[in-house]
Amino acid sequence: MIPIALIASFTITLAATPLIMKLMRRVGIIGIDVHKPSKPEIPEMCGLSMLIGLVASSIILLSIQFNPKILAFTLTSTLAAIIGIIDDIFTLKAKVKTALTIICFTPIAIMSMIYPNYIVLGKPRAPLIGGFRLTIVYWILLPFAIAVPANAINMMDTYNGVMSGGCAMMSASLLASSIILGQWDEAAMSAIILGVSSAFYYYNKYPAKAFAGDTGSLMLGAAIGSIAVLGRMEIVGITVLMPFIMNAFHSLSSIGGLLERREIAERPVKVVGEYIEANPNPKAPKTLANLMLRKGRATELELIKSYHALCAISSIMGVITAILMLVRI
Amino acid sequence: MKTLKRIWDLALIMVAVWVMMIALIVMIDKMVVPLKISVDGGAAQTIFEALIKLMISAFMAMSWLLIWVKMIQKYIERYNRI
Repeated sequence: MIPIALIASFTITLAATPLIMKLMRRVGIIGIDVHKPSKPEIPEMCGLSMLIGLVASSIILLSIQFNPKILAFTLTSTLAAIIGIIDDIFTLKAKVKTALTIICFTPIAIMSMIYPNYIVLGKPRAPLIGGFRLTIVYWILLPFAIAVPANAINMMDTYNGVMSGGCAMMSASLLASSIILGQWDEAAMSAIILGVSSAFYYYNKYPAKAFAGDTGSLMLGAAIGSIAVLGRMEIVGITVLMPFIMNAFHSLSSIGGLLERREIAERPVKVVGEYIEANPNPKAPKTLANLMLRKGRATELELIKSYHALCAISSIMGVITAILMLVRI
Repeated sequence: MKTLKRIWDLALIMVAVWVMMIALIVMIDKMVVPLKISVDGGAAQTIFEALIKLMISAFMAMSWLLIWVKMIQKYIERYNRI
């Protein structure tokens, strides 16, 4: 199942992306790459190809053997992608978008009620102690288990290849963690995400030829969140997402709440020729880029490498967390 | 090398936050969950006990978040030369 998921998702996304790029150019869904001096126009909403790759490879897996977990994962990711499509076309307010992503957990909740033997909720595994049981608290936190990764990943889709490359590393970590823990369904789902994100990275890497848009970033975030929930690997999920959570947590706390990009008066960084500098204004959001650039200006490529290095560290930490889940003290 | 220099402090903060998260989970499991407050074990006392445990756990989680914020504030102060 894992090789099929990986090859199918990678091939389909790799083939679909150029077609989606052409379509977006034709209909005029274009974004400006603001971090380059020439400000090139790049087709937006190309994350649609990742949705095609994810849904098609899930259908292939489901046609081989029906699995409620894979169905819940596909429905959750698709629901997040639909919210992303609406946002890419109509530009929703940040609070509305976040509120909408909160409902993305419903397919998992419904499927857990229909198939209680397959989908077990409220019993997260934990390192060094094995696991614990949460009843009421888990159901309160469940909507955020999908909404937080979806929005955190969406907020870090700011530089070429950071989101897609970061998600590829995270899904590789989740794949390894699932294999370590013997969670084969989650390993197949992680392989799908690894396939779609690495194929999309080919077009999204510096200098980008395609932007994922909220369609791609919200979908990948919801997919990663759903793998963590379905596989009872919430702690691994938090660990691999740490750079994304750090970025969202510090930027939101510095601007005092949820705001859309266009609603923020000060940008976190300034583009000076081919270099990017941290914005010294105290009102500027403290994003990871702002924090990293406090040590000195960098080119866009240097900044992207820094993001990827942090994602690589958190991905390794994710695998260590999974290994620690097999240890009892 | 340049990349490692740039992320070194933030990576350390990330690792520290991760270690503290695992320590927090273990502490809640080993110290807060086994806590016995009620004597007779009636329904009201069981709910009260669960609420106390929840509040202690929430306080510990908030402290973890606060330490994380403080570490970032220290980082900003240290590199506030922009």
